[in-house]
Amino acid sequence: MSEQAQSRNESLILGLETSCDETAAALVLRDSAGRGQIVSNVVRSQFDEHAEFGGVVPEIAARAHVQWLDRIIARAMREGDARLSDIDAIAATAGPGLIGGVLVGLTSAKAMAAALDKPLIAINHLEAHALTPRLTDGVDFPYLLLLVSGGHSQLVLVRGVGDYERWGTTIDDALGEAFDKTAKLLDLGYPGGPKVEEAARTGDAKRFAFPRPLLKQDRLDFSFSGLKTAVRLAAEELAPVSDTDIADICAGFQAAVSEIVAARSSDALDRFAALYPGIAPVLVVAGGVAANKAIASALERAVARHGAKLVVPPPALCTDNGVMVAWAGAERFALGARDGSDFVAQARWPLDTLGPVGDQNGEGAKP
Amino acid sequence: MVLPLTLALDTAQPRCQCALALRDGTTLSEIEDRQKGHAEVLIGQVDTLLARAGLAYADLERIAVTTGPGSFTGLRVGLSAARAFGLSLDIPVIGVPTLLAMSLAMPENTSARILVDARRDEMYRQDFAGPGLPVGDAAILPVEAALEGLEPGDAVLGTGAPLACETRGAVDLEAHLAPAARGFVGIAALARFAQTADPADFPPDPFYLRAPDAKPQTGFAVARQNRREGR
Repeated sequence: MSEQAQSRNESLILGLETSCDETAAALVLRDSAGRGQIVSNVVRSQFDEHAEFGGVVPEIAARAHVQWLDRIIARAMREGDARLSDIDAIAATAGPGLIGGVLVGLTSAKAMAAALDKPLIAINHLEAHALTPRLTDGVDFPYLLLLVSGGHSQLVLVRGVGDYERWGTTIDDALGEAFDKTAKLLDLGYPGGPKVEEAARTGDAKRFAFPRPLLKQDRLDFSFSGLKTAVRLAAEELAPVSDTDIADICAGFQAAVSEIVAARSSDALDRFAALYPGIAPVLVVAGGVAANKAIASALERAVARHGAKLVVPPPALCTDNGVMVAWAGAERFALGARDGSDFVAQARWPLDTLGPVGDQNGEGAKP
Repeated sequence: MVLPLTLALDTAQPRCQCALALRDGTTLSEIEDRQKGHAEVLIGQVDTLLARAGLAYADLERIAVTTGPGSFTGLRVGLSAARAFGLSLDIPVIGVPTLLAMSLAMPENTSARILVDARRDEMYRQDFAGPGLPVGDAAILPVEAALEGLEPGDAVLGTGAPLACETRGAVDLEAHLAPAARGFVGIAALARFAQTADPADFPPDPFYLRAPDAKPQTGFAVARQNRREGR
């Protein structure tokens, strides 16, 4: 692997992800033309540890990360048929996220980088999501990113590596959180997203007229807390709820969020088209909620109306994983980014506080 | 006798420290008191220590680390670094419980109870018949129970010792310890201990002694009708 990597001017990057409830490690190979290849991808979900709590418990997550990470890394090396000495750099999520878990991954990466005498690259978890479509679909800068997960709901203009402009975010709950709370309210189990989607399948989306908060305002932000309250009131009024009630509530909820997300994305595409008249717009969807089929088809319709292209990486690369961290590390490594062992893990770390990395001329990012 | 070149780490307490035990058994250490931010200074501290010894990471033959009890985040920082060093260098990692590690700095032929403030009116407690010789298991106990059985004149050690001296007439061993080991793990003693410890007896697993704060969530859901088939 290493001779190959060197002779072809390729780089092999190890990526570690521990910022929420997945312990993950992966190897990604990037060639000099900027194309990436997944060499290995190991994810251990902590679903069972958190299930009885109805959500991720930070201390339980951190305990699982420290107990598993070194074994997960060893497995990623074995599955990639690579030796640690073959690696060109070690990338790890340094935030944002649950700080106890972030510290496990980042500290492990710092120690590996020191012991193996390899560069360390600290990765913003949101940037890892944002750059994934460049690995999976070779998307060029600039493009629009819709990041919808348990912790985030954002519309972001991606101009280059480290070069982001946040156009909209949630002013209260994240979209994935709204799914989880709806599932919890209706006692559907955890994680809530797939459970709500499943229940909605047989429901009547028109029975409840749930609100579409903020949609009439001229901004690109999201709000899901009023919707959550409306869902709760509807359920409480009907309690005890029947299976039909549950299906109808879930269908109504899903219809509301699909419309909100599609409308916001549509507005963002208008803004993108005005800013970059000569560039065919691409909307990339990342985050666990990207797996929801109702939302995906609402986005398909919105994107089609704009003559834009929708890129949704495969589900395994939309939820948290080490591949996206390794890939973001590979992009940064190629631009000369290096971080020190004194790098401070960040619980909060907005994307637009990063700065462009190195010389990205020729990437065509600037308008 | 040539001993394995051993690097010891301890970040489970409000101190960030590391030590090297060389092949002749002599030690060097780096110690910095700090409440937090261990994760930002630990690796730099090890770099400095190795440079002082004129050694490289690749020369290391063993890693030792304290496993707790202590700050949950702190002990995970030490364990993460130790296990990553072990994985990278393919060398054994020896996990030593914090109270056992503290006992290593005690004078020979002394028995003592180690008491460490665990907050919330609790203490970590373990009795030792000598350095590295535990009598019974480490436990987290309400303060009264932690002090139970102490007679006037009994030796105690740790951040809980002053209270034991005040209320039970116990005697604090601290003055008999090397200055660097007072109130904390003696990191040099830990590095030396790990040179001869059997890795099979000391796995690098966290030893929290306190369960995470988490309760299963109830009461959020609305009442549901009994599920009916084929509605």
